[in-house]
Amino acid sequence: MELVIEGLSKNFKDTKAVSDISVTLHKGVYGLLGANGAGKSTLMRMICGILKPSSGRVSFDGMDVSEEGFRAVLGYLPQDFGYYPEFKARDFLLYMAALKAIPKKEALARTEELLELVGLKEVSKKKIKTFSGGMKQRLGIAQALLNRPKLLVLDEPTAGLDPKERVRFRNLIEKTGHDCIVILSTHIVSDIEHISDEVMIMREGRFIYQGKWTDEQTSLEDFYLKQFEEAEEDE
Amino acid sequence: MSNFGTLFRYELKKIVSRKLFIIIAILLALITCLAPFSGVIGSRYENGTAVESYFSYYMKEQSGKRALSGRTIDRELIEETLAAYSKVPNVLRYSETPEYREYALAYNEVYTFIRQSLSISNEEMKTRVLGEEELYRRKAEKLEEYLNESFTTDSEKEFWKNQYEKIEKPFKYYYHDAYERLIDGFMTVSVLTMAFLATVLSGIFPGEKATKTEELILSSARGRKPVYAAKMLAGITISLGTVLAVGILSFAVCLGFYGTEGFNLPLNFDVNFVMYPLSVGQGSLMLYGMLLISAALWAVFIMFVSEFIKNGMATLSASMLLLIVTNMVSFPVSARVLGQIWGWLPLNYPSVWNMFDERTLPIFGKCFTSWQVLPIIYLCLVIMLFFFGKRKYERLSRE
Repeated sequence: MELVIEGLSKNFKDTKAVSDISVTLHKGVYGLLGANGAGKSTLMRMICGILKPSSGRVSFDGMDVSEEGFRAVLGYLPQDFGYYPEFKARDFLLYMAALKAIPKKEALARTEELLELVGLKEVSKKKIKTFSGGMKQRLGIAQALLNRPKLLVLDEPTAGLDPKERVRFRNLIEKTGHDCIVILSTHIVSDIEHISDEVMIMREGRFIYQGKWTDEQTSLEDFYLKQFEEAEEDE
Repeated sequence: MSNFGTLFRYELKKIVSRKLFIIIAILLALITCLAPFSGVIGSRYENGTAVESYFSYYMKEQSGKRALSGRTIDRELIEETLAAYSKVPNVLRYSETPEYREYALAYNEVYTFIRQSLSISNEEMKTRVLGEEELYRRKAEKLEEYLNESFTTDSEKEFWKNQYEKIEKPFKYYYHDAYERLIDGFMTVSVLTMAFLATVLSGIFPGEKATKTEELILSSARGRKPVYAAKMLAGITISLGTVLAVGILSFAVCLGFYGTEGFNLPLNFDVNFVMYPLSVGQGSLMLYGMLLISAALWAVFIMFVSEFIKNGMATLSASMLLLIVTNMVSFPVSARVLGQIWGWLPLNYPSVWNMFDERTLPIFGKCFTSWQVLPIIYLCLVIMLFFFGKRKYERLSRE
């Protein structure tokens, strides 16, 4: 299981949103840290094949990002999770399952399983427009997990979750990370502090740090700030 | 495409579950149901005073017409009609006089048929002594004059003359109010249907961007080709379903209230420029049948434009503007080709005058009527727009 990112760049007119990023990721949880506007979402959208890179390439086990096979192993939760307000939670997941080419029988079983997992079983027949922000976000997480992804890309997944839900979510991701590659982007350091195997810190479209992270080291927040200070000094 | 059926079903659900869809569908259904009753609502005035309700007035008219139903329009009926009208005072608003209601009301359709066939005024009609031979000869001459004025070719004139000869003469009059209401109200129904489709389909592609679901779709395995096809098919299904629903509603209301009689009355009796041997019943069915294919092309066009400009509001505005412009602009008969193309556009075509247009499409020396060729032309355009849109969708799906 290998995600290869080679010389990935994205320019919007004169602005370089992502600049020449190369990295190879294997099974595990990767925390992507950076301030707002650092280029995290742009990078993730390119990894998911939604945004066309200005240059560079993304591939998973040899499959290019533009191939259907790549998208078949991908689970993605965008920063602004979109939904159909008039759909019931169950219907939404079944629709997403059809989009992910999951056979009908399996889709039904997986939907029930995930509704249970994210705590939405009781409200599965209610319209999404009646859900709280946290419930919607949990539904977003469920849809990303539908196809048992080998590559799970989560962009600011904890936004809108209350502290109890955050803990529950972290446990879920930690468990999922044993079997696939999880890229979790956030600007809240505590979200990834205890679950990520490796941390990537982004600033102005570049990685200013990429490496292993363990709880025995100093606090991630201090480390994160130190990296920024060093990057500023280098400039 | 194992999941195509599910994708298609959910695309339909996305359209019909929107509040906007439900509200304007109810409005469309209400207007469709009420429009055929516009002539029987309110009060009737004679010399400025309300004398009775239009409903009771109509019931008298209906029973009079039913009494005449089945009679041949021959010398006897012509004389009877002219005699009835001779009792009506010679005033501008003669239909508001008690004499009209008493003597002429039942004969108004036969009278109009005679007057239009001869193309003469009410004054002249009263002094006229007329036999059936003269009526049908003059009618044929008037149709020939009409063909000459319409810049039709010699082969078209020959074609229409042959068609007109197939209509059995002398005409037999039948009470046919249900079909008359269906034909008269068709234009309103078709414009409303097209406006309805523009409103509900203009957001089918851009809506995914607005609801931020586009990223989920595009990052899914089936998010590209099958989704495009499912959306297009859902839009076409909505357009066909809408026309079918509106058609069934119109027929049910008209036939239910006005009665089913008169299906076989020649369409030429009601719409005097139609020379094809069709009955009013067949004509009504054909109007709704052709609205089906026009609506399908219109639906594909709207979805294609919305995918192209990626803006639901702009698509809706452009569609409404087109709807208004096509209904307002017409070409002079001398601009034969331009006028014919304009009249055969899917927004203009669903109307009695464009559908039963005397202009044909000549292919290898044979004249083909609009309803014989347009289904094929529209189908080709649907396929063309579908594939152009598909290319655009696949290209644009990655910014």
